[in-house]
Amino acid sequence: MEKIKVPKFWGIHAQPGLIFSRILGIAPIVLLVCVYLTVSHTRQKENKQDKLMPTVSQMYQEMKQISTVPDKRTDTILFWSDTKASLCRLGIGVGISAILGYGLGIILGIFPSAKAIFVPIITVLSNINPLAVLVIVLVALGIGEGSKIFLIVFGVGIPLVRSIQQSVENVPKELITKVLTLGGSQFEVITRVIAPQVLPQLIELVRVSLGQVWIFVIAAEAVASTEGLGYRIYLQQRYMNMALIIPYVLYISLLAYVMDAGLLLLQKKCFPWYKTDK
Amino acid sequence: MSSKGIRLKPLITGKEALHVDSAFHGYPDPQTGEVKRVLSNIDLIVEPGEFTCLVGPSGCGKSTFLKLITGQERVQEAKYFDVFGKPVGFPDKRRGVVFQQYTLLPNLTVAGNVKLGLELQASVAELCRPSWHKEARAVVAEYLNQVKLSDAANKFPQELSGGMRQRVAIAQTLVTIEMFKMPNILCMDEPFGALDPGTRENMQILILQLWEKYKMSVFFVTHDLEEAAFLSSRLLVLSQYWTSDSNTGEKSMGSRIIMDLPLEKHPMSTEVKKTALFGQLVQHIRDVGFNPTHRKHVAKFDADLRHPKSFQTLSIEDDRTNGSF
Repeated sequence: MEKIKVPKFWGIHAQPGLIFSRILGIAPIVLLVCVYLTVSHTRQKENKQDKLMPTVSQMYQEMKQISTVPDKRTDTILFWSDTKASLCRLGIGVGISAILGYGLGIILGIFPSAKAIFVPIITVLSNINPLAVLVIVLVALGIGEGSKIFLIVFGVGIPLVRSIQQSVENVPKELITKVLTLGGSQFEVITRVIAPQVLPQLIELVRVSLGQVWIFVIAAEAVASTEGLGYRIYLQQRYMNMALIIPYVLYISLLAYVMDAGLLLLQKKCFPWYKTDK
Repeated sequence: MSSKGIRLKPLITGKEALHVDSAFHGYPDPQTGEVKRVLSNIDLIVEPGEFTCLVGPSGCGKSTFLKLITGQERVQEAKYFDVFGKPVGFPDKRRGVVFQQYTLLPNLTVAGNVKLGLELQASVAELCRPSWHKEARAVVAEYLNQVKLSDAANKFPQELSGGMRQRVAIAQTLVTIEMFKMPNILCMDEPFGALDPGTRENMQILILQLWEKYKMSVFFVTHDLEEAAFLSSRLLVLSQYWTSDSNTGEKSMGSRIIMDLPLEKHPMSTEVKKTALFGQLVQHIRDVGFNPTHRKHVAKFDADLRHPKSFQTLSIEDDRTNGSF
């Protein structure tokens, strides 16, 4: 029999293989970096004052400045105080959202009366664009931490309630019957069946909504704040200081990536049974 | 065909595993709003310790009937619908369940699932005591051994085959039967429906052995006639269209029990299935219970009710619909 030649790259039958796939994946990234380096280099050569595309060494200088030399006015290292401020807002906001989503979501999913009371208002609230009410929030709650955390909870916590409620409703009724017939109480149905099964889904939902949370944090910081990663970016925008903005953007991406990977790891470690099926 | 006419209701002592008298059940049609009847005038008394199998064509309401017994659904209308002398109510520990799917908690290991039955019965003080957990684990191990699953104790349900999962579910119920004398009746809804023939046969033998050993009451729903005939000590056939089987397009008026046979328990070997008698029995059930032309007669209450406890009531509605009584 004639041996069939499997294409490495072209067509729907292509099997690039593991190593070749990796190479293919890295190539566009390398290309992007190379293009940037070349263009920024030529631009710098033509115009020493060019601020739009700083070179790597300029970015390094700026980052070194902000992450080692204390700010004269506040006597803090701005890089770390920005990171701390943003992560605090994000952490508290996500924490409250997760607790709210988990608690209220389970209650709405399991108690028909609670569902009847709260679902209409939650549906209304979740249809309001959080960024559109940002100004209202700032006026109502001031420019302190409260308004930023409120924004996150409003934008992420409320949709989380609905998603968790959905997950609870998707738990097979048979399992509830099972626990009841094994002698469990209604309370035990919640603690033994619903709560543990929904927990890994909560982590997954939080992981998915982190992207949105970052949007809210950066947006809120840009509008009204005195520190934070988003605030710094918007502040530097006035001076067209791309040498700082670009590393900050990359740094935010890195933080987001680490959080995502961390939650994924947590989910895999703590809930090995989750999604091992199919 | 036998026992024409109406069979009178036996005396009720309150110890019956199941006491159903004139039960009607149905669902409202979402389009017309009319109630579509699923079960019609069900009369049934099941004594404790009986292995009752309920068979019938698909869509006849077997599973619905089981759901009424377990309390997952509430019967719409009935004179009596009692489990061990008390109304069915919501699911509780009087009835154990083994479903075809979703019988185990996915977040607990096999051992954890079996131990759950013990934990739900234990007091808070017991749960706080490490020695209690140690004892519980020993008990769990013993029962897992009975269903030959000792090796899989620390696996999660998703990692098991269908047959293994059902064995865990059975072990889960067995623990509570022996430790707490509950459930009083084990309800199984096509528990072996998704298993391959070999595994299925093994499971049938296993459940029969356990039934014999623990003298439990089992209510077993299946669509497999041979399985029902092999397992049961009492075989019920549920069938629909009993008021009208003509081609005039008259709608189904719900199902009722049209056969109720006491079966002798053979020695527990699958050899029984090969005997001529077994073949005749299955053929007879198929002819009477599953054959539409025969079912016509059932409309006139010519049901094959041979079990001494079977009885029939006539509701006013029956008189009206059939006209002939």
